[in-house]
Amino acid sequence: METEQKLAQRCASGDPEAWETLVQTYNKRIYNLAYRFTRRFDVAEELTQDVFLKVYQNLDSFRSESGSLQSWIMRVGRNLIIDRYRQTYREKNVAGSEELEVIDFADEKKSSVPDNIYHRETVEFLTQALDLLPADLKQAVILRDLEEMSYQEIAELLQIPEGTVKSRINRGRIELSRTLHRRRQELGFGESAETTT
Amino acid sequence: MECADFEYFLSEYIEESVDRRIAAEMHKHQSGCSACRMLYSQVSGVLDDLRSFPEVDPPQHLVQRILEKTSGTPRHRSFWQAIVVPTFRPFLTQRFAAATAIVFVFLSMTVSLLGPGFSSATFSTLSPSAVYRQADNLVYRTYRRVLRFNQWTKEVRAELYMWGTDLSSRIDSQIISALFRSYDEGVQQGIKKQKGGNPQPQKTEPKKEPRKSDQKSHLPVLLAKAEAGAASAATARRTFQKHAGRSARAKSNQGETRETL
Repeated sequence: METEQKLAQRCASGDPEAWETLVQTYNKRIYNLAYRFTRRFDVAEELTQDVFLKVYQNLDSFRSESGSLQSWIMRVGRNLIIDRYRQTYREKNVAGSEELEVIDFADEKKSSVPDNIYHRETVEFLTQALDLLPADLKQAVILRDLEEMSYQEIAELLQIPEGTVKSRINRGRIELSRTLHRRRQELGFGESAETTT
Repeated sequence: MECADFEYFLSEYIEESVDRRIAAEMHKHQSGCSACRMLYSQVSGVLDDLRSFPEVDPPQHLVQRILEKTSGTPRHRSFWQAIVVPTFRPFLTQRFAAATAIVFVFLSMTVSLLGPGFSSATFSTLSPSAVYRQADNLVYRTYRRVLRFNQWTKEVRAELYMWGTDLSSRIDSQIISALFRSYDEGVQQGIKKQKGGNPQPQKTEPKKEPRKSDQKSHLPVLLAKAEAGAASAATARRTFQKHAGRSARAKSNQGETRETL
């Protein structure tokens, strides 16, 4: 805790090395969160920069007593990314929503993507199915199953009752699995009832 | 329980956070409803897939851009981080480390064989001419060792061959002499019997008089043959030794000539 508080203080006092350490440590998580919501690399990059700008401007408000530095940064990141996501969804103007970028696995040998055709297909189907979900269900599923947040944390973040969070997550998962099942059957990757049971 | 209820509690059922009583009812319902069983399987599969959802790597320039946008200061990197680490990063992989270790061992062995003795090394011993001389001496010493080994193997083979030949000829002569001695004794006993036995000639078939050559002992002839065999073996041995000695002398002469050079 003390170290994080000191790091935050050093960053706030303008120590470039401390700030670089902080950016190096958390930029990947924020970038991935932004990418999961926006499905665009350029928008994710822009959002990540905005998140760190906000973190930099609010470093003074960080208190180690109220949680770890990582939780605080992720909270700032989630708030900003979800706000931006809601805004763009409301405007029905998600930049190039029909040109969503899919993960280019050929360029991502460094990431932990197994070189497995089935897995690639699955990830691609999942990505497409996630994009087809209504915004409220999608963000609930992402926060719960990709960000691994608790129901309570999601409820606080989205400012909705915990029951609503549970309901959204459940409906999102069911919708996702049905979409995925339909998609697989359309493309001949169909799984029969016998095999799935 | 109805299918709609099963769907409603499905996520909590999968996460095992639902009430026990409801879980028991869901379990019962699932075992009798193929549609709900399939839905349970699909949602569980999706959760597994989501858990293994890959992370993407941010672009290389992202940190730089964030730093410029926030603190306004360019990225601060030490000489070590900016130059040394990126330069040597490709060489720090496991595969490269193994190859480097092999090359190092090979080079150190080569240097220890060809290079100067480091305990007595001076600056002059590292000059190209000194290194060449060392290498030349090493080659020459190796060549001499090989020659000596060849000579030794030839001598051993010659000794073994002669020993075998001697032994076989001795055994042959002993066996032959023993055989013919017994044969000769048999012949002599036959002659004695004829002289001291019945003087009447046999009626049926007159026995032939033994020829002079038959009466004569074969032993001296056979012994002479055995001795001739042994003599020829001895001659072969002398010839072989002479040849081996000549080739050895020639090799040592070559070595001496090289030493004088």
